Amino acid sequence: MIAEALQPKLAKVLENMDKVMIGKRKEATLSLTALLAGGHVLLEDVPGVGKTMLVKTLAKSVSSSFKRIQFTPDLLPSDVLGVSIYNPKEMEFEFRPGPIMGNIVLADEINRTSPKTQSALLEGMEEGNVTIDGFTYQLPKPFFVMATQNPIEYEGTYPLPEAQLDRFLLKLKMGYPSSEEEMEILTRAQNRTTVEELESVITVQELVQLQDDVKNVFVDTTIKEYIINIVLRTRQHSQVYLGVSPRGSIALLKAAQAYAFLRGRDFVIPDDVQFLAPYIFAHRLILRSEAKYEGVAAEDIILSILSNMQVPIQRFVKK
Amino acid sequence: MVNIIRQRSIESLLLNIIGFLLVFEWLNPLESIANVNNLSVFVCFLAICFLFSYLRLHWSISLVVNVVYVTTILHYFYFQKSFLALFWPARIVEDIFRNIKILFNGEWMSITDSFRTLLMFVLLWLLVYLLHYWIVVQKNILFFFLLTVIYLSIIDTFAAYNATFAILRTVIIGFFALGILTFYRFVEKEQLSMKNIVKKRWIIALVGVIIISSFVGVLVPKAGPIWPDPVPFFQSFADHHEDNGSGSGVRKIGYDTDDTNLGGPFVGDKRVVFTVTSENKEYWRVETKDLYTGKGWELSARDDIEFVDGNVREVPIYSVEDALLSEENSSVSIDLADNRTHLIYPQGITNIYFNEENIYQVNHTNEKISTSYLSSLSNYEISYRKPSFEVYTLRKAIDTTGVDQEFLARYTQVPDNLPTRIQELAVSITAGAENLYDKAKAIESYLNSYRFTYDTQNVAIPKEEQDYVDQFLFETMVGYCDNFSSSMVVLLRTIGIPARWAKGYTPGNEIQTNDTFSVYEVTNNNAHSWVEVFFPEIGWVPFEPTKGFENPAEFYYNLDNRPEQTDSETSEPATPEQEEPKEKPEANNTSAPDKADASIFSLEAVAKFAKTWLLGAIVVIGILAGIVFLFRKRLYPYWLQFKYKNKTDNKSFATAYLSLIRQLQWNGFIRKEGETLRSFAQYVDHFLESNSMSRLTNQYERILYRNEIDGNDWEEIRMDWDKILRLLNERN
Repeated sequence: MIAEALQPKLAKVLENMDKVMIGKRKEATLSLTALLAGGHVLLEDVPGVGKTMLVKTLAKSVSSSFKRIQFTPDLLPSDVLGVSIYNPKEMEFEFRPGPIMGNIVLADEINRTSPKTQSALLEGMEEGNVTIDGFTYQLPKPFFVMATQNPIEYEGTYPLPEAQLDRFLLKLKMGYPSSEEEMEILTRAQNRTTVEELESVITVQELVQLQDDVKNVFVDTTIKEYIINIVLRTRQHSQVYLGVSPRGSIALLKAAQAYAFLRGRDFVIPDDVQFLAPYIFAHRLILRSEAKYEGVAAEDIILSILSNMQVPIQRFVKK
Repeated sequence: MVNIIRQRSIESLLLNIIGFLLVFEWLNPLESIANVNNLSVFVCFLAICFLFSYLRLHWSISLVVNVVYVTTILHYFYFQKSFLALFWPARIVEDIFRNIKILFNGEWMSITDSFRTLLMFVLLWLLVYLLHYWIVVQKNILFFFLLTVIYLSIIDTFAAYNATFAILRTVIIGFFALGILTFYRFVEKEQLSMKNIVKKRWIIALVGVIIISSFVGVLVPKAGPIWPDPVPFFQSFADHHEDNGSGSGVRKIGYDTDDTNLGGPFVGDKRVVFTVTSENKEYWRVETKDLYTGKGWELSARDDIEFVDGNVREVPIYSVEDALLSEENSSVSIDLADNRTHLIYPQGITNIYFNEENIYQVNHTNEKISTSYLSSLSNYEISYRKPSFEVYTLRKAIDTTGVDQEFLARYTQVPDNLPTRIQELAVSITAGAENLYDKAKAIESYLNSYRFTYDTQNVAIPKEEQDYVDQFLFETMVGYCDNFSSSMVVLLRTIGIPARWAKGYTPGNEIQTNDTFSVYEVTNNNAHSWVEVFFPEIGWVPFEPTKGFENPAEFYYNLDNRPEQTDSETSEPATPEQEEPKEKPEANNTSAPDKADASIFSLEAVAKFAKTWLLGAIVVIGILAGIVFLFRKRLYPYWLQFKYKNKTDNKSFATAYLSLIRQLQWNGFIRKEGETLRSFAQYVDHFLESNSMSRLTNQYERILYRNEIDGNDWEEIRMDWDKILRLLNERN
């Protein structure tokens, strides 16, 4: 078995992240993929498994401006976007940018704030710019949001509507570390290797350049057909109420490109698609209530679709 | 639902019509090849059967209708003029029972036409049921379609039936049926919803394919036949044979009065001709013949018939000098199985007793004894004096001096065009012999020698300009009693020894015996021919040149004379089972090889040779195929390696890669549905402890998903590829 040589610069980023994050290579890779694809990540898990840590290490590895917004029920849109304040000396309103104006933004507990504030953030994520008091401000590039939400505590939360979930490229779960990993975590905590000590290994300019390079990754027709077939099957699936939208297929395509690039390839293979599909599609499916009661998870549906579908292995595949 | 039923019934109608048309193609040639008249009757019956099959009526209805139809037809054609017209159904049943009896007796030829017709109907009926099963239930007609095509090709090749259009029709119908049935099979198997549009498209495509393929099939030039059309040969052979008077059809009666054309194979016939109660084993004579034509035997003169009153005088047939006849009268009693007009008698006959009048007629030309005015006879008694021959006395006859010239001419007659090599042969055989007896014995021994083979099947018929005896002596050397006896007579005659051809029966099988008498059963299989040689001052002495037959005539040695070595040969043990009737060949029997034609003869030899080799080749190929099949997993990689040895392009790499995947799957590496090549490759590599598969897969991925066409290191790829195949073989 031969390991693929990762894209050198991104490999450094991942190595850097590994110094702090233990056993979270996959999540790190996925986050980086989303960053490269120009998408955003929704992290969903219980507190204390390293969601914030992941974002911080990623931000730290890229020498970018990192902002954090802690969402609370009383947070206002202006607290996120920024506000115009009257400057008596200059005799005019002066724009004070909010925390959204950063390269990597951690939106902690996004479901705790009111839909009004949520939508302010989400608009920025989608459009790449924000409009305040009639002025449109361009968000910096790269602009990457990692939002977290806690699936356990639903009291006093405002769950994100499906339409807004769609704006996230992928949804991650951190999961608990294994006992060996946890032992390693404890050891490191004693040695106080903290995020602050990390050095950045890649500049923002380089990152933007890499984002541009991702767009040149080749996607063959067979792969596109493969994606389309997966999407079609989610729409036809008996347990699915609402299948994956075309925005979802685009997301998968872009993510696959980014992932292939990360893996040091200049073309997409079905493995990329298979690896990413559960993370990209799961939050875009609405299951039928029967399926929900049966405890079927969207990830399982996608996995079963993938395992029952012929992978394109020649030019003309029998359908 | 109604719609489905309607569709189904249209479909079923269509399929039944197709079945009908296919069977019709079977019936069609019968008119020209098998003398079947009124074919329309069968076609009509076929249509009725298919109609019932389509309507799916209760079986009892179709049974009644079919039985009524068949009996009506039988009555109309065979029993119409019957005296008991009112009871014709009973007659039919009676006829059926009689024929079943005949069937059990194995007398196939005696089956009446009416019963054959009935069997034909039953056959058609069964065929329709079978087809119904194939078409409607199994939805697969390929087998029957193939059979039909093969049948038509054979008929076309071997009979005077032009099946060109029949084959075309069959192929069109058959293709259509196959296409339709395949469609229905798909629908059934895949549980597809039957949309009319799909069906329409399918049918349009099907019709298109059929039209194009038949059009092309008709138009394209076809290779000429590999061998010449055999039909003219069969015909000329049959015609030739008919010209010679033996007619067409099977002739199997053992004893035949017509011997003008001898030769050809025959079939056995175990029917009893007569039973005889006798003290001795005798050859039972019927007649003799004296004129050899080159093809067979005829009589040199007109019938010379004398009426004899048996109560007044003895039978006026001269056989041997009185001194040689036994002093005692032996008597035999003969029971004929069928009434006959001619009598069967042993040599040395003196008296015949059959009724008080005892008047019979003797034909002096052929020594045939018949009842007076040819009234038929079922049993009679004969008394005779058995002749016995002392060899020393026989040897005294050095030549034929003193014999009446006319008599001599009559019994030394040979055709003018008789090949001289026969005489040369006779001279060489008898070179050492000084007297008539030794000469005759020499010829007898020659024919009894290893050179000749007794056979009843592979017996040739002489060509038009060929001599019957010449063919047997010099070419075929295979034959039965007629060949041997005729040859001996002709050989003797060429060296001036008077001889004639005697016909009758061998002693038969002993079925009952007591101290003095035995009862012999003589069947048609016992029909026989032998030789009688004339010795001056002695008479007609019987000889037996046929291999495996024993001469029942008594020869003995006077003690004063030294024993003759030849004597032992006369009493060679014989096996009565071997006795076979003489038989006329079947003119139309295509299965029995005919050796009359020298070219055919050699052709047959070639065919036999080819057949042996072909058989051998088929066996060898079969064994090889079996080995290949058994070791296919082992051998396939070598084939792959050979196949892709020097290919260096993406396309062959892709093909080679995919065949490698197949090969891996044969070896138990199953790629799950939805499994990517990469993970499959890792799985394979994990097991084979290599990384060749992953490397190959990477290359393949580049070609497939990247559309890359350059920069491949083919040498490395081939090494990886070979390595996997090698590892797989090691695992086996």
